[in-house]
Amino acid sequence: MSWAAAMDSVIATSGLTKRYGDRTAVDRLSLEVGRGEIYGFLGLNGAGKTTTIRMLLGMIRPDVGTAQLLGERAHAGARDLWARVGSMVETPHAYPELTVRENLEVFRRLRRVTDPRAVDRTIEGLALGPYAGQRAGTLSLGNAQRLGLAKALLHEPDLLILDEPANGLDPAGVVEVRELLHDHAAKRGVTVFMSSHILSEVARLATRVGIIHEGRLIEERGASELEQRRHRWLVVDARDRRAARAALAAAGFAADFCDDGAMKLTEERAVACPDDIARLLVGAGVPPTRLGVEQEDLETHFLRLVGSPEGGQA
Amino acid sequence: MNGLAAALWAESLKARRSRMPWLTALGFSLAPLVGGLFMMILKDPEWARRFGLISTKAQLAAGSADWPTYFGLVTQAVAVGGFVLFGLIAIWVFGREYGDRTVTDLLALPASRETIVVAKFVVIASWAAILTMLVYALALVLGATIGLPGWSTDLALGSAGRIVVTAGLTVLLVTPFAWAASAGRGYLPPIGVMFLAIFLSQVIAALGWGAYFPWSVPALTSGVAGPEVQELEMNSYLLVVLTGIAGVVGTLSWWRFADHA
Repeated sequence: MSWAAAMDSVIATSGLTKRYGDRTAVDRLSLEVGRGEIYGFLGLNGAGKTTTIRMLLGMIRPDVGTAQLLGERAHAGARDLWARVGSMVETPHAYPELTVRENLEVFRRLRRVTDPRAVDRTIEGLALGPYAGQRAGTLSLGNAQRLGLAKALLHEPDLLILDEPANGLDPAGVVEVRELLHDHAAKRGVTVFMSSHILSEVARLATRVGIIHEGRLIEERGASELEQRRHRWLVVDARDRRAARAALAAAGFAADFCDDGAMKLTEERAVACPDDIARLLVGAGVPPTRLGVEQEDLETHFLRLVGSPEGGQA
Repeated sequence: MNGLAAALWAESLKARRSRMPWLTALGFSLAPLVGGLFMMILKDPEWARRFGLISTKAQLAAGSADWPTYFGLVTQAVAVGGFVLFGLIAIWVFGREYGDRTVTDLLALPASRETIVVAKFVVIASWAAILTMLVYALALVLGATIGLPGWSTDLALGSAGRIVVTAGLTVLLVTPFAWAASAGRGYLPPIGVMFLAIFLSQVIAALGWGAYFPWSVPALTSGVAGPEVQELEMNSYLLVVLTGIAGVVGTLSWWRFADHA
C-alpha cells in the first residue's frame, strides 16, 4: 500500500498482526476503506474482529504492521485523530449511577464539543428522549446499545468504528440503527466500519464486506458481488422420482437428493435453463411437479466460506 | 473547557453520584466518634459503667481525658483508618472503570489518557483532604462538647498539622493501589495488594524496620508506635514520596502503553 493510497483511504491497514503467545489473533490484515463507505467486517465470535477494532482505535499495539485512520497513524496519543472518530467497542457500557443525559454530558466535555445542545440533538436522534433522565444502570439492553451509539455519534465524527452495533436491539431497533448509519454515510459522508457476525444484517447496509476468519481476511467484496457469489441450484420433483432421475441422468445431469426427497441439480446449464429441464422431463413422460431455482442464504454462504460444518462443502 | 477541566468535571460527577462519598465519610467519622466515646469513658468511668458502656470489671488502659490524648487518638485513627479508606477510594476510582467496563470509552478521546489519570488522582487527593478536614472538624466539635481539658490553640494547630501530614503521607501510599486496580482490571487484585501492604507494614514495624518500609511510615508518624515518631528521618519520608511517585508513574504508564484488550 502506498503512502498516497493510505492518505486517500479513511482506513488503511498494512500487515496488521497481533499475537497472544502461540495464538495469532489477527494475521497480516491489510484492508482499505474509502470515504463514505460502509464496510461490514464479518466474522464468527473469536475470529479477530474486536482485536482488529481495538488496534484501529490504538487500544492494542500491533506486533507487526500499521493502521492509519483519516491519513494519520492510529496510536494511543493521537488526540486530534480521536476527535474525528466515534467508536463503540463490544457491548456498550455506561456509568450506571449517571443518567443518560449525564453520561452524554461527560463525553460531550471529554470530546471537546463546545455546543451544549449536542447532547439534546443526540438524544433526539437516537430516540432516547423518554429515558434522558433515567439512570443508565436501569436501561434495557436495547436502550443501553442506543446510548453506546449516542456516545459514538455525539461529536459528529468523520469515521465511525462500531463493534456489533445491532447487538441487543429488537427488530425495529435494528432497522432504526441501519437507517441512522445509512443516513450518516449518505448525507454526511461519514465512513462506517462495523463488525458483525450476522451476514444478512451486514449485507443490507454495507457497501463492502470483508470476512475475517481465524485472524485472516479470507474474502473482501462489494455487497452486490457477494450476492452473485452465493450458490444456486435447481430443485426438481416428480411423482416418479426414480424415472425422473434416470431421465436426467440419461441427458447427462447428475442429480442429488434434497432432504425432502426432491432432486437438486447444481450444474450451471441446469440452473440457467430450467425450461430445458422441464421439456426433457415432459418428453420422458415424467412431468415435473415442482421446478425452481433456489439460492443459498447469506448465512450458509458465510459459513461455507469459513469452513463451518453448518455451511456444507466449500 | 480544556481536557483536564473536563476530566475533573467528569470524575467529580462520577464520585458525587455514587454512594462512596457518604460511605467513606461515615467510615472516617468513626475515628473521632470512637475517640470521643473513649474520652467520655476515661473522663467519667462510673458514668460509663452505669450506662453499660463498659463492663464493671473493665480495667481501662492508661490515658487521660484531655485534648492532647484525644488529638493523638484521632491522628492515629487517620493513619490506620485513612490507609484503608483512602486505599478503597483509589481502588474504586480506578477499579470501577474496569468493573463497569467503561474504560474502553476513555481510551480514544481528544482528552488524553494521562489527563484522565491525573484527574482521577486529583479527585482521590481532594476526597481524602475533605475527609481529613471532616474528621478534624468533628473532633473539635466532639472534644468541645465533652468538655475536654488541656485546650490550647498551639496544640490544635500542631495536631492539625500532624493530621494533615499523616493524611498526606497516607494518600501518597495509595497510588500503587490505583496502578494495581488498572493492571489487575478491577477491584480484587488491588484489594489483595492493599491487605498485603497492611500485613507487611505491621510485621516490618514490629521487627523495628518500619522506618524503611513506606507503608509503615504514616503509622509511625502518627505515634501509633509511641516514641519512634521522633526517630524518623527524612529518608523515611522520601521513601513515601518516591512510592507515591512510582504509583502515579506506573498508573500513567499502564494507561498509556499497556494493551487494553
